[in-house]
Amino acid sequence: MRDAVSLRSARRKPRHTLLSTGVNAWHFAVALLALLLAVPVFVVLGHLFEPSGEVWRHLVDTVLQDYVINSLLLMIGVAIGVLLVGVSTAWLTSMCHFPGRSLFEWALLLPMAIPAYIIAYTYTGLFDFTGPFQTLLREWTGWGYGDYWFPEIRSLEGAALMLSLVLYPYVYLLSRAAFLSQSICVLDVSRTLGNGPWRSFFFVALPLARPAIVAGLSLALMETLADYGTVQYFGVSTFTTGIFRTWYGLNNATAAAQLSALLLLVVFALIMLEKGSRRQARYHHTTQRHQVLTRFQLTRKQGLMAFLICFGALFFGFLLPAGQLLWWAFTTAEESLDGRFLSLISHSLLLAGTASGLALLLALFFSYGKRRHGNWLVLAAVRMAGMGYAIPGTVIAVGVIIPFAAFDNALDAWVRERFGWSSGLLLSGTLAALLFAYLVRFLAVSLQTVDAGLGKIRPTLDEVARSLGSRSGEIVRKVHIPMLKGSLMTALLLVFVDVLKELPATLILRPFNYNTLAVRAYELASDERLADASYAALTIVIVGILPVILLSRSITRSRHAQST
Amino acid sequence: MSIYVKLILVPLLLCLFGPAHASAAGEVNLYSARKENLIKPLLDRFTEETGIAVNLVTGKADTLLQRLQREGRNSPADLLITTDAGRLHRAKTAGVTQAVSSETLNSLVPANFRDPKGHWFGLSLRARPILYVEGKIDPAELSTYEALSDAKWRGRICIRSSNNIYNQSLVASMIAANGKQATTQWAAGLVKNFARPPKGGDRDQIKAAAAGICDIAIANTYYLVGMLTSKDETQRQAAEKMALFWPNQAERGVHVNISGVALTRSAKNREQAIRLLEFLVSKPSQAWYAETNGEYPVRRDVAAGEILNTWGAFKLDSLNLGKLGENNPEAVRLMDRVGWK
Amino acid sequence: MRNQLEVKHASVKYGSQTVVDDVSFELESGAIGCLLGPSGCGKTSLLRAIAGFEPLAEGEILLHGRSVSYPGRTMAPEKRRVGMVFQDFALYPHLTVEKNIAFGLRGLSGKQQSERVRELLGLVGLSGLDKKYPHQLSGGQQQRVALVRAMAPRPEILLLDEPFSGLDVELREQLTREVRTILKREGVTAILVTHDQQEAFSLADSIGVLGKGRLHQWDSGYSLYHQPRDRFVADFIGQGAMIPGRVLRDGQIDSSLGRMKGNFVDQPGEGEAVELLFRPDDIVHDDGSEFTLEIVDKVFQGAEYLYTLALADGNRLLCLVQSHHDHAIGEKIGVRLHVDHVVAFPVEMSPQMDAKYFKIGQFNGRQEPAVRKY
Repeated sequence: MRDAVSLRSARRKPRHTLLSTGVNAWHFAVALLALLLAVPVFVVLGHLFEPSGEVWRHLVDTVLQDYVINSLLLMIGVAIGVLLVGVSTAWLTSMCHFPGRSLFEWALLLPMAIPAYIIAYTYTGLFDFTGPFQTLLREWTGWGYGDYWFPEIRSLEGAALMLSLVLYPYVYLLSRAAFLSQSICVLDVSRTLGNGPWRSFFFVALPLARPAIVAGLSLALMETLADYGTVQYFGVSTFTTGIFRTWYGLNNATAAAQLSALLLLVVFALIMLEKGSRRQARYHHTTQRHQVLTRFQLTRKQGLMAFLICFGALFFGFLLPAGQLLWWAFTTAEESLDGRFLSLISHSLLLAGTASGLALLLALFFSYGKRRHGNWLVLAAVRMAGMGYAIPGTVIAVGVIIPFAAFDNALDAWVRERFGWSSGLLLSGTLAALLFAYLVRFLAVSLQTVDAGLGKIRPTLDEVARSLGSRSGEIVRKVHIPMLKGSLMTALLLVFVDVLKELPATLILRPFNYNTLAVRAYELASDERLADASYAALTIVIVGILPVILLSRSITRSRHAQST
Repeated sequence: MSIYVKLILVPLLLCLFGPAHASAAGEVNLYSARKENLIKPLLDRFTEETGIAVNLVTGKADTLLQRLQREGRNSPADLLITTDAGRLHRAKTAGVTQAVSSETLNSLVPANFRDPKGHWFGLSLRARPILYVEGKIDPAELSTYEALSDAKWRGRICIRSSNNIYNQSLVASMIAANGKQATTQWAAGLVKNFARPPKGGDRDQIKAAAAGICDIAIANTYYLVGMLTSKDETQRQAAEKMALFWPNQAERGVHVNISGVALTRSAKNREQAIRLLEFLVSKPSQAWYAETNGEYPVRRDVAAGEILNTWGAFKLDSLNLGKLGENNPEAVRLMDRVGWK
Repeated sequence: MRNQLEVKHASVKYGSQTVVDDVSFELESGAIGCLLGPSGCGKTSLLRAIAGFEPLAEGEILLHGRSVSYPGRTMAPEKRRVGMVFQDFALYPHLTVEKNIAFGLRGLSGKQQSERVRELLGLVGLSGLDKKYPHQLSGGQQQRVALVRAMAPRPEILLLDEPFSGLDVELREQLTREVRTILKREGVTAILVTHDQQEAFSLADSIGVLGKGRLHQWDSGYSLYHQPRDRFVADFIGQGAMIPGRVLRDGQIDSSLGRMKGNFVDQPGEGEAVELLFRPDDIVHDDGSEFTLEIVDKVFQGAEYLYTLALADGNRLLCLVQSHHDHAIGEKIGVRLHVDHVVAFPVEMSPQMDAKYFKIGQFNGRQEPAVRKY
């Protein structure tokens, strides 16, 4: 009845095969890969069931309480810090007009490039009792030790401040993306319902951006829990310092792993709680009618305030510590730039580039797998794979060493028996093992970012593609990736910078003669040669800045492309 | 998309099959807890002299030990270098080391700075004396570590966190000398005498003392040397305010730890590794530790560096350092109990 | 003529809840069908089952003669060659109109693609907008783009999921007619899901009324209105009044409007209580008639007044009268019956109580909330 147009014959003839939608290849692939990445987490959790002797009684009797309380206080402090700084700057730069806004848009990301322990060193150098600031103060006033009050930088509060200063960009980045993609309509609706701009912000914009804010916050908090360098230097006993004290000092690796496992369970519980509280709420837009964003025009006074808030975050999070590093590099450093230093840079770039690319691919794969075939197995496996972020890098590294070495040795034993020669260590001590550890540790970062972005794409967009004959791969390629460009770039950048800064796993897993910038900076800094560490630290910052600028550019551009 | 894939795949392949298998037979593979810049120059010199290449991974002693243990008989590592005796003892206990019977080593390294069975050897000494602010304290007031728990030092002592291995070793050595109970009491008294909650590294303690926060700092000598030779004027000024006191000279001597080396059980380049071992205790190498890092040579016949010499000769604790490793967990528990952060 | 779509005893379940319950119907090639029902009746689930997004718990679905769904097996939507137009249009914001439409065009050269796109844009009167982005179009334009995008690969069947509900009334009426013209001209087989009977009447050749997952009647609009098979259809389609009656020995029905011959699906026995359906157009205003009833309510509808009239026993009738017959509430007017088929239902067949909502009150489908659940 319909005439056969030339189009029909040209079309791909659908095969008359039926595909079961019950359990399929997707389930297996996603779950298998996620479980593979969760192996180190399982290794850590596995220690829960091993006997660890009398150590627990000792810990409970003496220090455990301190560890728990300090960790909690630190988390609360960092949560307040990153929310205040991250959300306010995100709102200001995305919704308001004020001088310097376009500069702050990307500059506010810069603190991310500074490793937490480095900012801790620089602040101590500046503001400690013996630092130039207080020394100058004493010289001017003639005061001596104990004559005046000055905030102690090396304290719990100080640690919370340091971590907030370098971790707020996670919240800033994710919530800014959320604010930008919010339809202005919902804000207008709120205002017509009688809510002022402030109420609109608190009751409409903020709750709508909640998944993004929570994603950013949870990244910052997980990183806080895993931090060792800062708290160790500041003499704050947290769960993480406790893990290493138990391991190194008490020589009880099992109890240390058990502490890590406990940490994991707490994180898991927190995540579940958050998911539960969100329940059925959906956050993708119900309408497609986007208004072009019109920013609030601030008055001079408001504009100045906005400028000061953003500048404050940038100054204390980046300019001040980077300035101190620069000063050290120029005045006191004995380190020189030579060929070896160039190899540090290339190693760092190679690792960070590869790891961030792989993490992005995995995140896309997992995210899409969850979206399309989200049964409990897939969800649980992906969740487990993302848990690595809360575990200190060293513990993850050991969690990688154990299965890799076990696999290598088992293979070797088999080959010896079968063929009479030794296969040696196939994977252990290679960059593959190191990259695997990075993925385990940082997958959460890209996963959170991609998830948050994907959640905003309405499911009908997938369905319409399927009804038009697109398979999964094509949907991801032609629909998700272009629509998620901003989120994907963000995920790429976050992991890139994280790997650039990553230390403990790199330290223990790297092959022979393979150094990175972070390793160099750490070795010098931990040898209390801060000034010498400044070159490597600065280079991390510089190498980290470039992608930050590129990212910000591309986000802005992708918005323009959609709104013109 | 294909470009993205290439961007990811190409470096990945380079990674996997590139430098990963750099180590070849006949080269010495080294796991070192000594920082790269405190060992690499010596290794380079060794390679220059012998033509034997040395491959290096640095890291924290315990993680390197963990890696060594897990890699088992297939581990590529031939040597393990640590910066304290306790970890060497742990490595031995874990069964990842093997005995070396070298006349050269046995004759050059004093008996208390090597394992009786030859499982590990000290390379350099790290003394942990008492530093005080010159002019504020009469050295006659100082005598022993034990005396630092005296109430007269209330609020006058700076020392870093008990997370640090040097403090753990110090306490372990006191447990060996005075027993658990006496040491617990001593530690409790010492904690009361802290000028502030422990924070920062050894240099920070020296700086704090120089700035007037406390009168006494406990730190390893090479940190003081590092500050005295620093390009940073404030560091130099701070260090110059300090004087050094060798405690316990009338009895067992000042607490020392070592940085040392062990031959791994899985070593596949045993011969080359032992050559490197012997090279590391040769006179020029020994002098290098003193010059570069302000450590004392483990050999008695090698002079310490210029600055170290100004502090004169001193008696050091003759305790076999394996004890430090044995007592380490007890030392940590003890410090936990008395609230030494 | 071959059936383009056959649905045989199809059931869809979400967990233990049955949302589509044993539905069967067929659609000829080139015909336009409609699934009509209140929200939550399962019509969208059925449509999604046809598209392949939902698996069948029971039954079978055949597209162009080949089985695409049966329990345990669901051919993936991307393999079925179905076109779907969603309520929210689901246009890709990152693609131009041209790229959106070309999205499903495979195996064609760039030139063939742009020819097809131009042809389709011309069909819906949007020529020249090919380089625009969706957000630069009006709602009606977006709707038309979504429609031709689904039609572009010439699917076996076009599925329209409440495609007009996001548009304003006037546009909706205009577009409904337009879409029918286009579909008919192109000979496209289509199924529309809607809760709006006007939409269904003006677009579809045959309409299935769904309630609580069951297909009550699959018929033409006319038959649904004048010969509803059960109370649910009678209540849902159009307006009307139910007047109680009783079956007499000769099969006639006695009620307060007199005796008449009824149409039954199953002939009830003598003495059984029944209800008679009277549509507003069954009651004709006639000033000459002796049979007068009191007006208790009236609604102005432009060309007509819809009067609610009270019978002596308290039952009410609806009556549609040209609007120049303007009577006041309380007035008595003369009426007479003009019934081609008397439709009667046994009382115990009277379905769910909630159907009463539609009994007297005017059902306005447009008030259904626009937010849909998945």
